[in-house]
Amino acid sequence: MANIKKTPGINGSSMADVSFILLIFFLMVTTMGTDYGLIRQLPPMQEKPEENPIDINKKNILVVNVNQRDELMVGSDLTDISRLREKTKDFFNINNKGVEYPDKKDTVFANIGNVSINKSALVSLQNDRGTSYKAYIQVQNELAGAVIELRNEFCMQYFGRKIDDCTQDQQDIVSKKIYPMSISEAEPKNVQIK
Amino acid sequence: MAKFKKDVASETPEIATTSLPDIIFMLIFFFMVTTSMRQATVMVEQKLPMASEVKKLENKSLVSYIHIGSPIRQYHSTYGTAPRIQLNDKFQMVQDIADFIASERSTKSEADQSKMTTALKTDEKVKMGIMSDVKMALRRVGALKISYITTKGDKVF
Repeated sequence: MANIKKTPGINGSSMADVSFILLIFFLMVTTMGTDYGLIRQLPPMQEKPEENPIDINKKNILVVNVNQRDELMVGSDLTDISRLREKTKDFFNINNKGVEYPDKKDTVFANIGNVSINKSALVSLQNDRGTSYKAYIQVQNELAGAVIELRNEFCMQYFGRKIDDCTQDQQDIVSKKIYPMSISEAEPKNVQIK
Repeated sequence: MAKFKKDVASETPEIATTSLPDIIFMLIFFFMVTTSMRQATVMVEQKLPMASEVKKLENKSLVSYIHIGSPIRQYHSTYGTAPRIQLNDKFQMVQDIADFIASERSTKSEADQSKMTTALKTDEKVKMGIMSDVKMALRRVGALKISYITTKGDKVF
């Protein structure tokens, strides 16, 4: 004896909620191909290429040179890329006050007090036309990393927190006055190594 | 004893269609989000270098992309294997960058023009010679804000 039963209809009212959850899930998860990059400002074009009249003292400049074999020279030593960050930090660090370090000048900042900052310390980045882009980015990355680490150390010492957690005023003072990203790029040389 | 079974003729229940609009909306939103307009097909090989101190590229509508690298395999016979510059959908020369930047600028409002960024998507094997030519061309037209697009990672070397 076949008792035929009516299947109850599925309640569809919660389907909307389910689909909204799915929609939100996809909205959160989908990346729109976010790009990350090292942001740099190029120097403006000079109509007349004038010779640099300011003779900057040698100790105020750290020459970083990458040759066409991707070998790195910092100052006058052949260096491995892993030591570049440490060397750059050593050069820029305002606590290094010896004669061999860049000139310092005492400056008074609001809410911070007297800090002796680098007068005109500069990293001069030179590369060859044959340098690979990979090596160039590594060097740029290490230089940027060194400055960011110094900024963070300064902020920890004076404000007790990292630079990203500081107020906008504090960030501006630290990143523009105390530890600016002083990297100068020379036009690449076309040196042939035989 | 309770009666458990009803003697009613079988009917296939109707599928609830009330949520169909929601599903469709969901799909629409999904495609709206994932599709980006005017995406140039990359015609060069690109293995981006890795860097750790990177910043996210903000305001994508104000970014113009320049791809640099050696052409992918299917273009080898036409364009060779030497690194080339790709602007929009074409391989171009360094001299064409000025026109490219000008046309990108003309589509933006005056207030936004100063905020425009040029994103350089370059293969890690490319030599710096071509890069400095590109940078020189950008300096000449005053497109000074650039970003070297890299992949984000901690193991840089």
